Amino acid sequence: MRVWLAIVVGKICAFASRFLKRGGGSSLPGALARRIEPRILIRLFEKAAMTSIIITGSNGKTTTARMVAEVLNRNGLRIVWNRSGANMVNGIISALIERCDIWGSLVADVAVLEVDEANLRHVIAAVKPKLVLVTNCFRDQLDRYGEVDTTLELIRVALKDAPAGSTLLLNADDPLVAGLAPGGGCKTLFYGVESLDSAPGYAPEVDTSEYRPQDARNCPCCGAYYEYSLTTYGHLGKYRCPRCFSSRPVPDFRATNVVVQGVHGSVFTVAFEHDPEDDFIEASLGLPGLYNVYNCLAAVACCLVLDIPKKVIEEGIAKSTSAFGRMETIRIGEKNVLLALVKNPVGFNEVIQTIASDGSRKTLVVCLNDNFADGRDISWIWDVDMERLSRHPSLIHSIIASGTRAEDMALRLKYTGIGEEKIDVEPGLDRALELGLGKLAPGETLYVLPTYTAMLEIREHIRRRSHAKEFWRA
Amino acid sequence: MKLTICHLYPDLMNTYGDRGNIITLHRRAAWRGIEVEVVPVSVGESPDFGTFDLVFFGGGQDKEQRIVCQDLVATKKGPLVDAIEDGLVVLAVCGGYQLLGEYYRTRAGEELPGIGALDIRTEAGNERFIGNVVIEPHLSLGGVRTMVGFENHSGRTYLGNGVRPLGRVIVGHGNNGRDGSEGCVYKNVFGTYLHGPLLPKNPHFADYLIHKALDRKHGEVELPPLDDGLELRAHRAAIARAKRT
Repeated sequence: MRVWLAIVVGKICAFASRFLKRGGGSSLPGALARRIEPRILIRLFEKAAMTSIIITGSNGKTTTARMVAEVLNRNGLRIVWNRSGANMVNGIISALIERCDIWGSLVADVAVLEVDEANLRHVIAAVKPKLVLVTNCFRDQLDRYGEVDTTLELIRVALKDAPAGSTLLLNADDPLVAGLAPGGGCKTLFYGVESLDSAPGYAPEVDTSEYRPQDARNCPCCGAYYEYSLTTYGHLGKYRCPRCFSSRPVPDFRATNVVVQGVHGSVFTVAFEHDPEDDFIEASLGLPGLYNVYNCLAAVACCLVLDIPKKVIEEGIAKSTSAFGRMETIRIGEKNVLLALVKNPVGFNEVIQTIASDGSRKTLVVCLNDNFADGRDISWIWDVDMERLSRHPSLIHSIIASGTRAEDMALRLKYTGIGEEKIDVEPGLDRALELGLGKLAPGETLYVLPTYTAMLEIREHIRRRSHAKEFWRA
Repeated sequence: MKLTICHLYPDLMNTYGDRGNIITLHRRAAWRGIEVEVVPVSVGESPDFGTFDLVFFGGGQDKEQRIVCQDLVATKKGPLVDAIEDGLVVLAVCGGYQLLGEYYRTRAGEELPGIGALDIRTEAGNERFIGNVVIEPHLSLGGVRTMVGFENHSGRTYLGNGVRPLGRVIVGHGNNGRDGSEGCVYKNVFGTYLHGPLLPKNPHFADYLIHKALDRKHGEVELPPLDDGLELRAHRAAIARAKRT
């Protein structure tokens, strides 16, 4: 009875918040349902005979989940997932309540859930996943977690509750994540990038300064500095400890012949099993940036673990589009807006790297909010290699700082040496967007780089003024 | 004129945007035509601290702090303490601040030794102090009477008689959440919990440090004023935000 009431109230709340156009109603229904029945998540999964996949980590959760869902869907599986990226317990419950009938029966074969690190333990215990994927671990929201090591510890503790017989899929290239391998009842598999290449005209600048954000300099066993034979981005790569010889595990799923084609996407091969002659997948990915190669590799590995046919995976990957607000292009009249979520230094660096790669002159709006979901502390913007924007003076036509901490962002930009005359400060997000659009000629693109809550707000503004799809349906 | 800045452990003690302080010192000196050199100094290196005008020592995580703690005592303690006694200008933030003191006592009761340059002692607390901070510094920094920043630390620092507080807490927790003090000053050493990019939004304090560093070598130096419109706007916005959150 309580379950029934919780679901009905949740459904009414979701309907009402959508009817009143108060956003996507992506967390509130879950919050209400949980007030009525605290064990609602467990109850929903008890009733459902479906396979669950959990995706966690600092960056790439939403995009990876989207790719996995695309492939599974294509394979004829009915899926349920928290597509809008609301990844705390309430957001997950909301997504499930939307899909179940009022008796709590979920008509789905697979649940694809992206889960925030701090909520992971609760969710793993409730849903008993078949597979848990950990993408990476970077400094992110330190005002919430204190330290990167705290975040990592949350994941480590949560993984102890993974059911026997489940599979743990880890990024071999991230020493922090690879170190999570438990050796308990679950099977551990690794994925990693073997080699990198660039398309002609695309010139990645690898930041090798000692100031780059680096969360895994030292071997956790002996404290010696890791040596890298390949750095892909952040602290990801092929690392090895020169003192105690611990090193990157040999990946079970390997991305080889990776050719990154700037904003256009990437092509690469995923080799797996022990017979690379036969077992490989050709990935042709339309999403830009090396970080999306990792997301795609993780999604491919996930689907292979679930025994999805190779051909279906290849088709699903080729058809994958940007997740909501993650390098998403929206047309507004004769102009384009490219929305690229930025929320931590490593992610921001990769976004700059990707949009700067074609070298053309750009107008940017950078929106810095310091609400709870963004992180209250905005110190991290000084860890971003913003200097990259000033290194090529012709790159920036104009740049607008916006959001609740617009002045802080403007100051960060000023200290890149970009020239104050190119910087506007406009805290109001909708006004900043209009100001930016006003600076464009027809056919040009406005690059909008918002933090999480700023992204939701901007997306809502664009929806109101044009025909962008509502985000909970995108 | 040249300003030589030593950045201590930039690779390990850089968790909360500390690089912003170096960028700010660098730019503000360069905008006045002063040549700047930043010398990174890390594990295993024993430089002559007498060759530096200013030392910056940032904050890191517990794991990195252990490595730094060992190295600091083993390879840098003597020369750094001597240079500090001699008047070297040092800005130490969060973990760096703690390590210049007598010790850091972990929750398990283990004492990690500092270099003892500052008469301060730090103990781990149960709750982490996290949030925006506004202080009123006990320094004459010119027109602006506040300093703003963000703190994120579990250490409680208590000052001995040999040092005085950097300022009085208006918003936030400061050294220990009890006595209302924030940071410390000893000779030309400035320790604080205002982590990460302290100097960009406190340009008066950045100039105060540059001034002190150059004065030591060149006598009274005149620093031409800069247009700090944006800096002070960010300073005021941070105060408003701190009082609201």
